Amino acid sequence: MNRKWIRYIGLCLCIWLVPSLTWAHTHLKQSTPGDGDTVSQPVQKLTLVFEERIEQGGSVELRDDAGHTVKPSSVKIQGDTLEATLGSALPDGNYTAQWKIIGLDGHPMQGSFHFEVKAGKTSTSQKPPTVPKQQPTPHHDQHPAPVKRSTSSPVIWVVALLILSAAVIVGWLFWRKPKA
Amino acid sequence: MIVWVQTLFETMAVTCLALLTGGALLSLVGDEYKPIVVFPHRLFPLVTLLAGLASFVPVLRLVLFLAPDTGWMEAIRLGVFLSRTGQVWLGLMAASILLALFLQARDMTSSKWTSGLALIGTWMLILIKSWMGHAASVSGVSGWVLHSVHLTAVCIWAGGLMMAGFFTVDTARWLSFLRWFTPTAIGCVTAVILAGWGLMGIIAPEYVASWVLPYGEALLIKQWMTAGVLVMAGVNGGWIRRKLARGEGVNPLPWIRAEAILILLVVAITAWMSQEAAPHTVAETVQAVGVSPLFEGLFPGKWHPGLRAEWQGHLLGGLSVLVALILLALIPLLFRQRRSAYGAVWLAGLAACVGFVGVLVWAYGG
Ligand SMILES: [Cu+2]
Repeated sequence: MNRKWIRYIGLCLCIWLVPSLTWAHTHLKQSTPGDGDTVSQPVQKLTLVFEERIEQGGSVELRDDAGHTVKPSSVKIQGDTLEATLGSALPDGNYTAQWKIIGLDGHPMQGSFHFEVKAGKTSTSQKPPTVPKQQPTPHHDQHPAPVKRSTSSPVIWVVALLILSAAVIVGWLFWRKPKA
Repeated sequence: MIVWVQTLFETMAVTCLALLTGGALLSLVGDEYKPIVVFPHRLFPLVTLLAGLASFVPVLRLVLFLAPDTGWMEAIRLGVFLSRTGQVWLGLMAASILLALFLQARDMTSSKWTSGLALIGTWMLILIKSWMGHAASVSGVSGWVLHSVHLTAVCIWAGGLMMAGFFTVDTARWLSFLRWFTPTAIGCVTAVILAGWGLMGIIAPEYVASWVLPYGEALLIKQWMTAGVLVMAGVNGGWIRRKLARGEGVNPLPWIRAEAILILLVVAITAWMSQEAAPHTVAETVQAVGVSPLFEGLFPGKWHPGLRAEWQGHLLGGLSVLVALILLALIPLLFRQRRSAYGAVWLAGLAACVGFVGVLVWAYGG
């Protein structure tokens, strides 16, 4: 083998390792109240800190167990922090905060976290006793423990199918008459 | 849905930029060093506008995302005029309108001056477009420089291939064309590698573990696909060139077209990837977006937070990788037997599929 070919193969090996130009999305770094927190102080402000600077136009919405939504009276975004001020302190209960933001990379992101308020303030509106309810696809929930399913992997069929189609295509390409 | 729209338009935008670059580059080169280009030059203003317009989708995505909460007017104000993505896009659009007007007034090929200015204008578009990307937003100037180098190299390489492959009629001066284009292409490939490595230092993905995510899987498929492109580049820049130098009759056009098509496929995969979450930390990303449907389909119920690749050399995995390598090796054979060059696109695509599944099975078992 001459040196030209060694260089060429070296080049091939190099490009193999090249990743694409993509970056992590902006995730929620921390929040007050935090995910899973039980708060005994009155909550009148939510603070969400993200991994990097975020764009204007983000929002956050609270939902209690009964499905009532609370919209903040004002939302302020500065740097990596979104600050939502609520009109009045939250009544006791479980809350899901649903946030939507635009990362500096221009990618819209959304997610949610939960917290409980136990500050001794009850809702003025009559509300049925809170029943813990399954939240819809929560962002920060732990992944359910892996269930060892006995489903057999279809890998063998996939590979067989791929190799078969490879054989068919190679046959089709090479067993026809050449163009002269 | 919007993901596929964005993939399509992003591929289109890069294709337009590549066509412009290739067009301006070939206009700049003396007639004795290139085949006769038949690209209809009054289309260049249109191509220029399209490069700007097709880049609108990321902005549209923001507006659609904001609209339910804020209403349309406010969403447009925030998305187009206040967001970084929107502002850079406005800049790109303004620049592409200016360049289109210039190319409308002056034929790109009319003089060395106009083709030189067209090339500089196109490069401006490439630089602004790179500013729209992730890299610039995350690590500022250094990310932007790396992204620009990457995009510029891709545009020169793919643009030259497309112009020479699809829009030339004769191959009379092909050898003198390859004499400068082959080193240029090798330079571009090297630039792509160096820029990629620089970026990898910042992303630092858990490469193998990321194969449970759409992003990592697309990266793996892209790498197999790139292997096919390099084999094609070897045939085009090496074998065909030697044959021509020896005065043997070969028609290089279909082969260069097939290579251009393969590069466009890689560009499309990259465009698709740029919307997915990059696996900074794989376990965390899986919590946020879930295991890819492809991985779940191949290995049902296999993923759990502590999953590591086993590399137990599964027979099926090894066999598939071998088949993929054979498929790639058949590409030069296709050329030797004077068969259709477009068969190479099929071979490279199949090799990417088989090799992809093979590596996954090798890593994660049957
Ligand atoms: Cu992102």
